[in-house]
Amino acid sequence: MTLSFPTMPTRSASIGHLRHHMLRWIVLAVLLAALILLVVQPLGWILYNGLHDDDTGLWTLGNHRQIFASAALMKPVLNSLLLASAVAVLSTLLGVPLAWLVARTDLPGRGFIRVLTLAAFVTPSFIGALGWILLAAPNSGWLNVGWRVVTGAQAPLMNIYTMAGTIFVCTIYTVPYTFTMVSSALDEMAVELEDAATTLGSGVMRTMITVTIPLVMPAVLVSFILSFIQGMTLFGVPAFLLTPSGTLVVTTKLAEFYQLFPPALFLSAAYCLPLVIVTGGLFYVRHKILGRRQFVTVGGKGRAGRLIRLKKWRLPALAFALIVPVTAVLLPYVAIVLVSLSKAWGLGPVPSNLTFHWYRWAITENPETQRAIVNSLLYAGVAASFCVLLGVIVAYIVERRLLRGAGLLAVLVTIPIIIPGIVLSVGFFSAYTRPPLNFYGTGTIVIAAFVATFLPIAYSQAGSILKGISPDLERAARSVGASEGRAFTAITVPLMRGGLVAGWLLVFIPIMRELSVAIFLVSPKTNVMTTLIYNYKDGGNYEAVCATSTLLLAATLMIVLLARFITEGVARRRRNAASLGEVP
Amino acid sequence: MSEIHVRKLSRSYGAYQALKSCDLVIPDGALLALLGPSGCGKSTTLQLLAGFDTPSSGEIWADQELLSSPQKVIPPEHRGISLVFQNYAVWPHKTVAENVAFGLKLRKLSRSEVEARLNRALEMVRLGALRDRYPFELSGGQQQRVALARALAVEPKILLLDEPLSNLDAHLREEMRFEIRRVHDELGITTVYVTHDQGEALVTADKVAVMRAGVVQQFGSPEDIFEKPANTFVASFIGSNNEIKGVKEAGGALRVGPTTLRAEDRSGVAPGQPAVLCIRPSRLQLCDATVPDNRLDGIVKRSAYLGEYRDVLIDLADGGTLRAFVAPHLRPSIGESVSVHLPPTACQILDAPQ
Repeated sequence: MTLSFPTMPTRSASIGHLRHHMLRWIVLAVLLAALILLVVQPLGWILYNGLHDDDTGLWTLGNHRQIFASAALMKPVLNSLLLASAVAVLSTLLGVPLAWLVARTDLPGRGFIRVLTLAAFVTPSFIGALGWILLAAPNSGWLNVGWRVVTGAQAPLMNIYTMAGTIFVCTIYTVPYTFTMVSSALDEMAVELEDAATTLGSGVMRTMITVTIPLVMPAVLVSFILSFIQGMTLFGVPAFLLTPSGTLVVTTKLAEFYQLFPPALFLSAAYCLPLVIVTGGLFYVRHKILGRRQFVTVGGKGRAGRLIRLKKWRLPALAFALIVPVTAVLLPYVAIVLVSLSKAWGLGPVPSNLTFHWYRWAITENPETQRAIVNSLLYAGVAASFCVLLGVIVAYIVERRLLRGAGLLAVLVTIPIIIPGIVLSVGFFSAYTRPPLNFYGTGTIVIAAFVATFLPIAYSQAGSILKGISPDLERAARSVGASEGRAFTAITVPLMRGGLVAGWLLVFIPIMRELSVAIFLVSPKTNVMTTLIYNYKDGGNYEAVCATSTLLLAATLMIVLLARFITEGVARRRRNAASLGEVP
Repeated sequence: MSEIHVRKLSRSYGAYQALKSCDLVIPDGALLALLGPSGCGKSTTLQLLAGFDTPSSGEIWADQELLSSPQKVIPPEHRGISLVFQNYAVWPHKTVAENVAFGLKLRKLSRSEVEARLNRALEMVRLGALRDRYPFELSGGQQQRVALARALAVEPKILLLDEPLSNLDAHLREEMRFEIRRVHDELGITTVYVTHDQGEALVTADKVAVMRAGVVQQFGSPEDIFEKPANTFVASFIGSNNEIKGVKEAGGALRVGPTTLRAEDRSGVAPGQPAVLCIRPSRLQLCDATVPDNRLDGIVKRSAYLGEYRDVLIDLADGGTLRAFVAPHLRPSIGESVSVHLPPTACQILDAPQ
């Protein structure tokens, strides 16, 4: 082998050096600008507005003082705290045993229960609330009608338009969070840890109490905190179930400020504060519990199929495990689909009442729903793509420590996690509906708000993908002559691809079902499906609302399946290509 | 194909000094092994040479070009230095041929030129038949060869190897040592080889730098390092070693209790001061209690049969222990009194360790 070199012209060394640094600064400047517009500016306006008087426009602390002094303003805060506490407690009581039953015992139908619990995960809770109105509204709800027919009673079986009803609906859609976190902690726990206790003579219960529970405790605490936050920040469920009876929580009270004329912009900004303080504080606690770990992993390999036998407890356990799948998925889905196929809801599910009219109406006749379907898919697609792009670049810079100020970027993309969607909506409204940046009524403002809301998810997803790719793979590319950018595009990006599709979906799905972020930002032209459903529900046309909701669920499902299909296709092609090489 | 000069190179991470004022000259076409236990600074040195890290002070020169200084580091892609990683870092989404050709394609060479160089590199590491396989279809040793071919294909001026054999099994490791030496001899590329395995260093290298706690302890040929260790650390890190503490006497001798042992004096210690005598276990000889010179007496504490020799541990009458590798047919039993002869030419007096 003869050698001919230099192969890399040495003269370009110092020019390359210079270009290398230029590129870094440009990327950094663009990123900072984007993050300032998406995060700092809206939050800054909330702070600024909160300190000004609505009537005079002068600096004041009056707004904050007013919140604590006025019973009408304080009551929703207390209601929110009650709702959040109840949801957190109940979700833990339901979710933790459910996770243990599915992960560790011979409960019948475990796979089915797991799938349905995850279906509850992707169901927008306000659509669930809608289903429960159909089931348990005091007069017309099907369960109450049935109850009266069967028992001859006058009073309804239950009334969903109450605090108890709201707590119930919030809980069944929050349990999946607890279930997922705790069951993955249980799945990842090394089987040897429990076996070690058993070999020392510890029984099933004792092992569970002394080994299993302490090890999953961080996961339980963190999911308790997330459930609490969920209860504090949900908007759709209380808007559907509590507002009709005049009971308000913080999120619905914020919406009320915007319905005043003129909207109480400055007071509403101040009113965001208690919400942000509570969520921020809880995320800080969560951070303390998890320490530097992103996930609650206890370490260990896949476990063998040795399961605890429930014996005579199998049926009671099954009944318990079915609570969430039945109440969160089966019943409301059946109700919504049946109503969407009815000429008139009140006539009940009989053959003569059956029609496809509402779907035809939504898809071919009504321009509002047509536009909303297109908007939802378009905005969610564009926003998810931007989110993943920003998340990947920031995660890459942070993970590989490319820049000195990387920590600041990480903080900026993570901040929105503590900002409830409705607060972000207030912020975007304040920041971008006035000159010089007036985007009111455009798709841009809706997309930007979606991007800001889901940046933390995209960022942490990208970070965990990058952690799985050894930096040596990029260094190897650089050592044979690839620039930093080239190593990223030729090596890192292809290796991330599978994870990125998953990450994109992880952002796309919640955007499709997101209501509170969009609520103050949409106009009739930029309505998305969720906001349209919200508006239609106020009109009381339940058949149309149900058809639109079913379409939203179907559209989301279709995108998920499509993305699955594409990623599996890619994986299969690669496997085939790989197996071709085995010939010699 | 470049002479490397490392001048007063230091790297600290906060208060921790990973590398302390390291000086090295690597002659054109030489193979240098950086040898030391983990945390000795050898990998830091390699990262600095490759351009992935910035020195806290000092400089790295290749021929007349300044590659690294605290003010300016030429980025890795412009240094003409290839690096082979400990974990191979073979790209899992590219075939063997795509892995090796990656660096060539960056250089905007003609298609036929890329193909020719690719084939040469694959032949060099004997991987021609596996060119269309994906890394997950290769064994560890084959992946190692891919990494080596990828680094060689771009015809670097300098080749860096970071513990390249540490993930291979013992048999393959031995084979690859010679393989790396063969490739080096064929191409004559200036090579720096980081390892914690003294066997690898002695077999492959022209020059060895033994490092410890960020400081180069000794820099010399493999024979120098083994035969004339600069201090007790080098003596015990390279091969097995006995250390006998005593007091230096004038004219090349060490007093141990009542016994005086003659030895080559390589210490800087004045007579009457504490010093250490070093001798390899393989150089010790079991002898009669009547041998007059350089003899120590003791009791056998442990005796292990290792096939090619017997590893005997002896408790000395004057305190301390000696390890001797003796012919396997000798069978000293535990508790037996024995005498050991220390040939003066095999003994070296060194400074007592701090």
